[in-house]
Amino acid sequence: MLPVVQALVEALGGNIAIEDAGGKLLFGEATAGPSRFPVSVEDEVLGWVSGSAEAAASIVSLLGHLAAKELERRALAGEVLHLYREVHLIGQLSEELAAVLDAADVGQAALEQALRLIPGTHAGILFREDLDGPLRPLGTHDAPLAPESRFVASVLERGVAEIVNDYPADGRALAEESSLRSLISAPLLTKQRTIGLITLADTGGAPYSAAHLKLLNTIAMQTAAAIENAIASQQLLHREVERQALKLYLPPQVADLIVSSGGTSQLAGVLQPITVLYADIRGFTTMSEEMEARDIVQLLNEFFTAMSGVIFQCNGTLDKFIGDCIMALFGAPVPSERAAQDALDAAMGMQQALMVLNQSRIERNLRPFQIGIGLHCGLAVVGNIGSADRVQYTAIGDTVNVAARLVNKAAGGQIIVSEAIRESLPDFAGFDALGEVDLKGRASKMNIYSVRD
Amino acid sequence: MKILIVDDEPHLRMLIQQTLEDLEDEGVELLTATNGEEALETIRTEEPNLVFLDVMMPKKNGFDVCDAVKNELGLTHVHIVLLTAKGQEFDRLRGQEVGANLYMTKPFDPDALLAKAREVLGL
Repeated sequence: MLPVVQALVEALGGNIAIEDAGGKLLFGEATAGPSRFPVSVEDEVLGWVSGSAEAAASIVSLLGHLAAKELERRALAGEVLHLYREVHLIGQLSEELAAVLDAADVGQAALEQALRLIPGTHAGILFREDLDGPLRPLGTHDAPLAPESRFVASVLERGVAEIVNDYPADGRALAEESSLRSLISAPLLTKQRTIGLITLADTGGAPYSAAHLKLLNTIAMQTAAAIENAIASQQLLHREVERQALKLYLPPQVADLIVSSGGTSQLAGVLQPITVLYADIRGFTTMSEEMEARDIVQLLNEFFTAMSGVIFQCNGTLDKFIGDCIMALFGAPVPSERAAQDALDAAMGMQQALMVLNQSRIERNLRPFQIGIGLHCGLAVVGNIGSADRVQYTAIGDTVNVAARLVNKAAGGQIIVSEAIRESLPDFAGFDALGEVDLKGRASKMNIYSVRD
Repeated sequence: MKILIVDDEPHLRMLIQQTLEDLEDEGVELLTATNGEEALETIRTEEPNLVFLDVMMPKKNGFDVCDAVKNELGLTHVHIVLLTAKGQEFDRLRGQEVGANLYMTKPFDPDALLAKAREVLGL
């Protein structure tokens, strides 16, 4: 630039000095001349030219033109940088959102990026899991609007983004929202529904523009998709945790069935026909007095493990371990016409499995043991029973009590069943009548049967 | 104080210049170079405090410029930030070997770039 000016000054044959706006000499000599002419662009003085009027006028004109061009270039560059910044931030948000799997983290990331792109003193996301469910905030920032805001209801209902640059004058503004001057909001839309909204507001009244609205809509779209993903993955995780928990006491296929049909909340108490199996170790009290604690635990673990496998194979539900006793249900939670047969198969399978286990224990120089099994069927209430902190799927009622009494009548290696079981299995020829017996806690006597090996 | 912006793409030079424009008001001079050789020459004569240096450039690439500045010219006090395109495999080891102070990816985050410049210049 300087050589051009220099050439021009020489051509004009004048003594010219150029100063910046603050009076600092940039070119020529301070003694150039008495008259100073301003170089200005859009009424702003950028510098001074002094010297002969004619020469100075040409220089002023040239410098003014160059300065205007430079300003134009800068304005354009500024605008391009602004767009570049937007693209960068939107890209960054996509990357961030792809990496988070928690809805609250999604909300937080979206709000932070929104505030980098759009001015505002407040920013908030309200989200609802179901169309008529309650709205809850996602992410923490000064939330502009509460769930009960009329403006929120209107955006959710219309499903369209909106700018209000004089919010206090808007018919929907509530008294507690009076500090908000301008407001911009976009719904979070998924394919099926409006799951919430993102809102920015400014107490200083900075006006929002159509460009802001476009940005917020872009952010809202990304956020809605990310929230949906986060929730889907949480549900998947929850299901898996539930399935793992259920597998501890249900055959795996039943656990899958329950989880896929809506989870354990379905297991509320119902009265249904079931078969109850009780099995316990004969002479366990005496045995345990003679054994080391560690050996007792090992014995019980081996016993429970072997028996659980048989119960699951026969479609049974492991209800609980009580000391040395196992309680299992058949025909629950999923009712089954084969419940009594399954229970009988399980009982016989358990006696066989125990023989195998005992063989192995003898080989390891460990003490063998025997179990008695009792079976009874009838109506019982089954479901999740307990407190909010501790819930257990179980059965209660007389059917359960009778089965518990029957097991006490069973000697080692024996399976004792009730009349009801025998009647349920008319084709099974292996029952031997043991006559009528008294059962503790019952007024009338009961016919019982043992099962032949 | 001086910052040198080196990139063969005019748009990127302009964007970085624009990003750092506010610093001009605080007395920082912004210099530009369009290739590695020009960059090296400018660094030798001007000794800028900070250089934003593109890696992929004609004539001399960013690694070579950095190597020359830090190891041949011994201008270790010149803070060099290498700029590398996202998705482009960046050789961190090479960056370390040639003594680069930092590397940033393009598209760059204007806020981060400005903050880095302020930090290095102590503004």
